[in-house]
Parts: sequence; C-alpha cells; structure tokens
Amino acid sequence: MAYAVNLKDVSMHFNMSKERITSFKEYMIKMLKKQLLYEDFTALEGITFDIEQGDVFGIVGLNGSGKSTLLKIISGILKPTTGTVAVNGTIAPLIELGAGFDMELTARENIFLNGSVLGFSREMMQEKFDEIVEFSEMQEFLDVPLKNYSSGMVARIAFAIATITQPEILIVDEILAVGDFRFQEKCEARINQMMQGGTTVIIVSHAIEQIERLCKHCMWLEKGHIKMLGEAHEICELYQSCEG
Amino acid sequence: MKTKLGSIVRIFIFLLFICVGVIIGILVSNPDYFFPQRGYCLYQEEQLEFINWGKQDEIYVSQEDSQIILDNVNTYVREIKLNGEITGNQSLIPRIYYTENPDEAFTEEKSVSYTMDAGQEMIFSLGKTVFDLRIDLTEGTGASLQLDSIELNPQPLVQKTFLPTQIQLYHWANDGEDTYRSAQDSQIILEGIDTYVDQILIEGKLLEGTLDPHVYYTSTAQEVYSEANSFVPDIRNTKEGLLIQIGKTVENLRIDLLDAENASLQLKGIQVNPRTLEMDYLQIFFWALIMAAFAIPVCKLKTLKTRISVYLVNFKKYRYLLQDLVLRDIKIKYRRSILGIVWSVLNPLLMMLVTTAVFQNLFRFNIKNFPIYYLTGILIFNFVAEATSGAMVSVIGAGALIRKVYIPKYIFPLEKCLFAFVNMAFSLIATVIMLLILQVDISWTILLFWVPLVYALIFSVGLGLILASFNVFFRDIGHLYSVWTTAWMYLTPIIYPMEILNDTFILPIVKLNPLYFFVDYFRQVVMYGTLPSLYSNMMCLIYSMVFLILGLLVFKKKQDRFILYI
Ligand SMILES: Nc1ncnc2c1ncn2[C@@H]1O[C@H](COP(=O)(O)OP(=O)(O)O)[C@@H](O)[C@H]1O
Ligand SMILES: [Mg+2]
Repeated sequence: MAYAVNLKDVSMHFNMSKERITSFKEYMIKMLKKQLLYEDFTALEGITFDIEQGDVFGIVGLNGSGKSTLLKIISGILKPTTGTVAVNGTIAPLIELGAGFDMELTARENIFLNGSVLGFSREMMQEKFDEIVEFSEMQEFLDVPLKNYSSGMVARIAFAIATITQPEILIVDEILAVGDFRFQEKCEARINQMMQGGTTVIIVSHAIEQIERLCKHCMWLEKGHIKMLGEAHEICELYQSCEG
Repeated sequence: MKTKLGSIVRIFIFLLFICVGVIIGILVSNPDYFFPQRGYCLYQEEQLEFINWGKQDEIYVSQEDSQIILDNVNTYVREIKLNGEITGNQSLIPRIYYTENPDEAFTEEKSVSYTMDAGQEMIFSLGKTVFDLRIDLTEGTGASLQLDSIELNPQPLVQKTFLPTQIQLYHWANDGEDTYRSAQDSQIILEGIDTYVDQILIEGKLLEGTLDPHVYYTSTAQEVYSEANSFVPDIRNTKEGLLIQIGKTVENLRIDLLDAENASLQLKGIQVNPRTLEMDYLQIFFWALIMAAFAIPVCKLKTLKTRISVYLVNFKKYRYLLQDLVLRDIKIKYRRSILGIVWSVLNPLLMMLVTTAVFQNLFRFNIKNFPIYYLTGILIFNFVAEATSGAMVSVIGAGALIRKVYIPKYIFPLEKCLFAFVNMAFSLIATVIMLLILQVDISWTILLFWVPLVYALIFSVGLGLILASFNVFFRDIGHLYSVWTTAWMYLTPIIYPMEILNDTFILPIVKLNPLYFFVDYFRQVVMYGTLPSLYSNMMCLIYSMVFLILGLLVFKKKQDRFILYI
C-alpha cells in the first residue's frame, strides 16, 4: 500500500531552559561553573503512524497537545529530535499563511514574493496571477500596500496563493476559521475539489463537525502522545464525549 | 567489532586530512620551490616601449640615447633575454636600469652595464626584484636591432650538485676523510656550471676559524678570472652549510678565501641553486588545523553524490526567492532616498580624500597613485565586511519566515552576500572615476577585475555561513566580530604598503590573511597591469573554496536546531 506520509517513532523536544543562554560570554561562564542546565520539554513522543495516499486525515486534540508541531514536522519546517519522517509527494502547507508578506509592499508585489517563498517559479506565478486575484476578489486593491488591508483580506490572498497548484499533499492547520462565512465556504469548496483530484489532505481543526464531515481517518493527540487512531466518526464521537 | 573498525577508519581519514593540510602548508610557504617557472614573462614587440629609436623597414636603428622600457614587471628578474638580432655596430654596451617600487625614478645607482657583441646571444643576468625595467643603448649609435620579443627569466632555476670529486680544491690540506684545512690563498673552483646561479650552498660544516669568501666568475669557458668579474658576496650560515648569494649567469666560478688561514672545513659537496624547503610552522599548523576540521564531516558522509543532486534541485526551486530578496533589499536601500546610488559612489570618494590627506601628509608612504591603492583595497575589504556581517544576522532576521514555511536556510546568508556584491558594484564606479581622473595607465588585464571579486564573494559566503550559524546560538558574536573587523582592516594592506611590514612579526600574519591575496590580485590586474601568478590564483582559490566548504558543513550541521533558538 502506497503511503503519502510515514512517521516512525517521532519525538520532538524543545530546549526550554528557563534563562535561555544567548551569549557566548554567558555560555563560557556557565560552562566553566558547570551550570549548563537545560530544561527539556517534550512536545511529541513516540509518534508512529502513516497516512495512505488519497486519504483525508484529521487531527484533533486540546490546545498545546502538539498538533501544529506535528504538521510542521511533516512539512519539513521542524526536524524531529528522534525518529524518521518519510513523505511521498509535493506538499502545500497551509499552516501559517502569508509567510514572507511585507506590509510595506503592495498586494501585487506580495503575491510574487510569497510565490517565491513557497518555491513557485516566476513563470507559473505570472500564469496564475489572474486566477489568484479573482479567487481572493482583490481586483481593485492590487496596488495598495498590504498594511492597509484587513487581516481577512490578507488571509484570502494567502490562501489563494498557497492553493494555486494541485499538490499531492495538502496540510491545513486551523486556517478555515479566518475570513467571513462566504469565504470559508469558498475555501472548503476548493479543498473539496482537491480531494476529488486525489490529493491527500491532513486537517487540524477545532470544529469537530467539520472533521467528521470531511475526514475518513482521524488521530487524537493528548499531551504529545497518540491517544487514539482510527475511523473519523468513532474518534470524533469519543473526543466530543470526553472533552466537550 | 564494527565500531572498532569504524574508529580505525575514522582515525585514518583524520590523519590523511592532516597530511594533506601539512602538504598545503609546505606548498604555500615555498612558492619558489614548487613553482620554479614563477616569474617568467614574455614581452612581445608591441608591449615594449621604444624611446628615441629610428625605424627602417621594421628594424630599429639606435640613436644618441635609445631606450626600451618594460613597464610593470613586478617580479624577481634573474635573467633578461632579448630575442632578435643586432647588426651593424660591432660591440654595444647596454645598461639596464631598474626600479624596485612603483613610484621610483630610474637612477644610476640602480643600473648595471653589460657588453654585447654582434652575433652573440643577448642574455643579461640581473638578480633583482624589479618593478620597471629600462634598457639603454648609450654607446651604441647606429646599431640596427631586429627585436621580436623580450623574455624575463627565460629558464627556470637549474639545480646542480657538485660532489667532492668534481670540486677542484687548491691550497687546501686534507685532514683526512672529508675535512680540509685552509692556507694563505685557498681556492675552491667549480667548472662548467653554465647557467644562472642564484645561490650556491657549500654543504658541510665549518669546524674551526672563519671564511671570508671572494667570488670570481667567468661567463665563457675561454675567459680568465679577473678582478673586474669578482665581488664580495652576501653569505649566510644555515643548518645545511654556507649559503653564498651570487645572482649571475656564469660558466666557471672560483671562490677565494683570502684571510682564512687554518680554517677547518668539512666538505660534503656543493649545490648550485640549492632547493631548500623552508618550514613555516605557522602556515603548516594553520592548514593542518583547517583540514582536520574537514575530516570530521567527511567521516560521516555516505552518499555524497546523490545528496548533492538533491540540493541542486532544491536550490533551483528557490532561486526566484533569492532573486526577490536581493531585489527587495536593493529597493529598500535605494528607494528611501534618490541620493542612494549617488551616495554609495560618493562615500568611498570622500573617505578616500580624507585618508589620502591624512596618510600622504602624516606618514608619507611612498605609494604611487595612492587614491587608487586605497580605493581598490577598501572596496574589497568593505565588501567582505558588509557581506559577512550582513550574513551573520540574516538567519535571525528571517526568523519569522523560518518558523512558518520550509525554505532552505542558507538562502538568507547567501542573499546578504549577493546584496553586498551589488552594493560593491556601485562603489566600483568610484574606482573607475579615480582611474579616469588620475589617468592611470591601464592594460588589458583590467578585464580580469571580476576574478578577485568572485573569489572574495565565495569566501564571504563561506565565512558568512559560519558566522550565521554561531550567531543564532550566541548573539554576542556580533560584538566580537565588529572588534575583529577593525583588527582585520589593519591586517590588510589597504592604507600602507607591504614593505613597511618587512621584518616585523605582523608580516607572517598578514600573509595568512585571505583578504591580502584578494586585494593584491585586484591591484595587480587594475593598477599594475600584471597578470597574477599561478601562486596568487592558487591561494585565492584555496582560501575561497576552503571557507565555502567549511561554511556549508558547519551550517548544515547546525541548521536543524536554528528554529529552536530564533
Ligand atoms: N518553538 C517552540 N519552542 C518551545 N516550545 C514550543 C515551540 N513550539 C511549540 N512549543 C510547545 O509545544 C507544545 C505544543 O504546541 P503546538 O504544537 O502548537 O500545539 P497545538 O497546535 O496542538 O495547540 C506547546 O506546549 C508549545 O508551548
Ligand atoms: Mg496549533
């Protein structure tokens, strides 16, 4: 069976030393006095699972249970402290939208800048430019600096850029909560369209009914451990009865 | 069992790399030994400057004070060879003038005269480090000269060894074995040398007394020794024996020991142009250390080739980002003020005016075209300083991005270096303006001006990667680095000439300084119109590649942990 994502015994530790040492002088002094103490914080521990190609996979859990950390590990932003991650295919991470946006520049300039941050080629951005503008409904404001935009408008552009290609794996982290109701519907329609096209989707959301509606499989994270893994409707039911 | 084998292999790799480091150290501290061709120059007819010559059908006819000038020789000249033919006048007495510094005039003191007969080969030995050369034919009116080219140092130094049986000893008493005792007028004679002799080494040991040699020489086998062809040489005692400075092309050589009665000499042989290796331990240690640093990651490399191709594909994907970031930095820098570009040209020019005023009047360094000398030096220094300190903080500056999306992190230091490179291109305009104002003679070598700049860029990227890695963990590296750049500026010959360092402890340090090589290369092609030697090229290449690879390795090792600290 072909998998899209495969994690083996992944753990993520953060170095949470109370007073973070950021100077060489301090470091030398502490080292000489043998006071180099690190307070290790384990955000994820012993995570092993895989996601099949074409699956729609939900992740639920309380705040701070490590969902975003896990998505960042899958998309390569973070390297796990131990364990291995194997990914089959291109990833479009909708984790923190609009990375690299420069508020001083205009929307037009930002579209190209964000495109190159995501690794899209110049030609492709030119080709898809109209589509992005149309989807985000920003025609009139293209040459206005981004600092004059509302956060909802910024999110719309960012979503439009991040989804111009049909990726093999789409990662969605709680971003469906931004923007107005009408735009949320539009986003969901686009994600649906990608699922139809065979894209593997990984969704983190606090809207349980959304997970239940969209996903086939689901994982419940608790304090960095997998509490449960299985069919989406079962897990969502249990999760709701426990936490809700 | 497996780990034991692994550690043996690792130790082996370590030793191998250290050996390579030692070899590089020995190589770079003995350029003459390993590059005997060094200093060879060919001047074609059109590169020579003929002054006061008449011309008849491509043949030059000498007049009252005919001269040939060779500009910007800038090397050690053992021999000068004129390729061509002299006809007409039976014998000529050419006189060769030389200068040792760019802004020196030709004087009688720095000249040597020779004799030359028609039909003979025209080879003159000089044995001086020369900047400009002038060949005068004062007493040669009416000679016709058909000259194709002039070669400097036409042949590499030839090494010859004379065994005790090949050496003729006169008035020496044999004290048994290979020990000899001198008398009133002891002589040592070497016959059939027939080459340019830079030095000779009398191998052995002086057991008693002192030697005060006087050297006689002949240029042909028929000639007899005469007072005119004799001199008192410089001598130096070394571990291997007595080193005598000659600096002449000779056939036979006689060494007289005038007041050396009862000196006892152990003689193992005599070497002409001995090739002795000098062990510059600072250099050797330095290179061994650097190569040892390389061995660490090499021990861990497995499938280097496939990995590199993965990196290249990834780099290609993000090249637009690199472009966009550089463009954005340029926009921000130059959009703020329309004067931006003008300012970056003006700034070095104003600095140059101040520095020239201060240093020309206060210290009176004898530097020709000081403004250019200063500008060329400061251009490269400023570039490297700006690129590396920009790269140092680049990763922290891009923290917001790194936390949000996957981007190869080396993009950021690389971007800052490229941005500094663009800024340097604007400052380059200042240098061009001064070249035009001062009407400096430039030659075609100026087309190579970009070579040292690219070397400096590669070097800066490497150093920038290292600094960026450490700065993430220790934010105060920045303060240390700014102190270091100040020191670094004084360790680079920007405002002073190299000569003032002679015999100081700073000289060996400056000679380790990569910026010295880049600056020197740049000045050679821009100011002096000389083609940098293989040695200069090699040093620039080694420094830039070593730092690039070292930087990539350090950065790669540290980069996964960046995100935890920014
Ligand atoms: N860069 C970081 N440094 C230190 N701790 C972090 C870092 N990123 C996340 N954490 C910690 O890891 C835990 C999990 O965070 P996160 O994955 O964002 O949870 P979730 O998305 O499920 O709310 C939190 O306690 C958070 O404080
Ligand atoms: Mg989260």
